[in-house]
Amino acid sequence: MFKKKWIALGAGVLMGTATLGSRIAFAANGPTDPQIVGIVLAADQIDIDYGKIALSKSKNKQVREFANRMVTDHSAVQKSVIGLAEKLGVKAEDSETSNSLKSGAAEITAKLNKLKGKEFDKFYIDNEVNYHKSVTDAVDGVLIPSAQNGELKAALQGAQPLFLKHLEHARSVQSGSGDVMSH
Amino acid sequence: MEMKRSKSLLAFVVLVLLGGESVAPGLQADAHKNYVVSIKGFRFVPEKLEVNAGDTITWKNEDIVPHIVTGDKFKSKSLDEGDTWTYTAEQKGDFSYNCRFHPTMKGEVVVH
Repeated sequence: MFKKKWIALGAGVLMGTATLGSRIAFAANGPTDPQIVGIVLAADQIDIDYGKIALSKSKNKQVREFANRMVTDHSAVQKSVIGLAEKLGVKAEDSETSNSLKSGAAEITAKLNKLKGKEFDKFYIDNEVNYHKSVTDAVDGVLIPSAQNGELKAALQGAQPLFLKHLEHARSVQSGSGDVMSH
Repeated sequence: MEMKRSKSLLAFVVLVLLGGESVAPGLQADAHKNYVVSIKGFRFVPEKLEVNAGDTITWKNEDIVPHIVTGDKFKSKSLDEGDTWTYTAEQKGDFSYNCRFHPTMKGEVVVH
């Protein structure tokens, strides 16, 4: 029962992100704790790298503020995950999922590097919306249920509001609503 | 004789202590209060806070990422995990604020 639900979610996430190439695919038997740490570290680093590209290319104030926030927040998460993994004695492992994330990111990065101006801003923000949607779905539907260690599970549950807020923030930039960015 | 003196002294001490206790609440009622707003799970907790003019409000960041308290009348420094910032609510009114870093995080302070 659980396996079926889990695979269905993986397919949904995969389909939902195919347009921008940021795919999150899952093995049928679920990630182990070392693989979960590897997936989270990979996902974090990818968004840090996207943010750095945006900061080097975009002149849009809202896009730059969002990108700066992604770099700062995901760096904090990265530090926290590394600290927790060390404490728990869990060594990050690559998996089909983390490898898939990295290969998808290579495609996105290539495109980000080619685009300029408004085209760049639009692609970057559209991708951030899809990326954070994929991550929140994956954390809720796969990573949290799969985590065996209680502290790791709690850390994932604690990180979920961050991804959701980033998703909301990305959507507000995407829609051009200025109210939340006016300060 | 000595015993009587000790008892009297003890009674005096008890009276002073009791007296002190009865005075203390009155003093506290007149004093300004300090309220704490926790920032955790990307929310201000409580989201809405009602205080009296002169009270102080301390925001404490319990998230692992930086937050900031940004309102029209007040603005904190960037708060890292564990950092606090205290504001004295002097002006009466209804003041909404957010975290400029994460603009969908919103809060409200009502000063009576």
